[in-house]
Amino acid sequence: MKGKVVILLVEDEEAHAMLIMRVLEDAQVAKVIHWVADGGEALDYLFRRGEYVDEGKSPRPDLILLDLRLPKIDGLEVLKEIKQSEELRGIPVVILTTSESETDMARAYHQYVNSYLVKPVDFTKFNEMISDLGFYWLVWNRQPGRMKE
Amino acid sequence: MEELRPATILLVEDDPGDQKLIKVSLKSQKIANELYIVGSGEEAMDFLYHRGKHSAETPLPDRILLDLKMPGMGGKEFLRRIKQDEKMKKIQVVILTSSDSEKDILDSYNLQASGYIKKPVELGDFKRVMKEIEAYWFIICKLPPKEE
Repeated sequence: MKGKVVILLVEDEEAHAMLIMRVLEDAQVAKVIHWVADGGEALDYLFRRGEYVDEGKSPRPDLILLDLRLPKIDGLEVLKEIKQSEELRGIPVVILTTSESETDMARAYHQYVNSYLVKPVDFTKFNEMISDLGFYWLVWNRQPGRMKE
Repeated sequence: MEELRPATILLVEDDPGDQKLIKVSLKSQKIANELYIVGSGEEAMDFLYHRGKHSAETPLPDRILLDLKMPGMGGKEFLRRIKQDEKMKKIQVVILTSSDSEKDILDSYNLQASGYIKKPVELGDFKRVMKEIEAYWFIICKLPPKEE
């Protein structure tokens, strides 16, 4: 595998972001997690604009964890831009949200989301879910550009 | 936690040995999933569009486990076609293949595969991977809502 796994975490709720980062840190895979708190910053990072113009500050993520209800630009809009971009659409995007709305789910799948996870309210279950998610995406699933030595 | 809706799965796999192994692995778990198996891309198209020997009213699968290397229409061509179809594109497609090639991985994601798993060669590993697939895709991941 090449270097460290890069994860872009787009989450406006600090408590959730902290929990997600802490649980993912436990997975036995070298990784860097970049946390941004709104949809606008996520797109700046991905399209290397503003403070992320320098490629060194915006390494391409291997996985994007995306909340739906976000300040500035909504998660579904961020997803749409990613999946419409020739350069970015190969990056797996996992929606992590409290929304169980069927409309949100249908829209996300319509925009080719890789998977849609609903955050459990229960703290322990939330922990378990993030741990399962990390294990699946960081250990078992193959992503582009991560295969060879 | 929440209710788990049983999922309808379509396995597109030409190797009878792998078909059997995947079937057994999925059955060993506790979810009442419904599994359909077809042996080629063409047959999978027939299944989805109710043609040929699949002209009977078969359900639209929630997920597809897709091999890449198959005689005739390969997995990528099949994926390309269904992701261009408004009705089919929401179906989650997880690639399950023996190929580890960077090109296959990248092509699959560019064609909007949901995930990509390399089939392990060793039997114990194979079963373990199937368990992981099930834990992730069939338990924690939400399915798109069913249309009426």
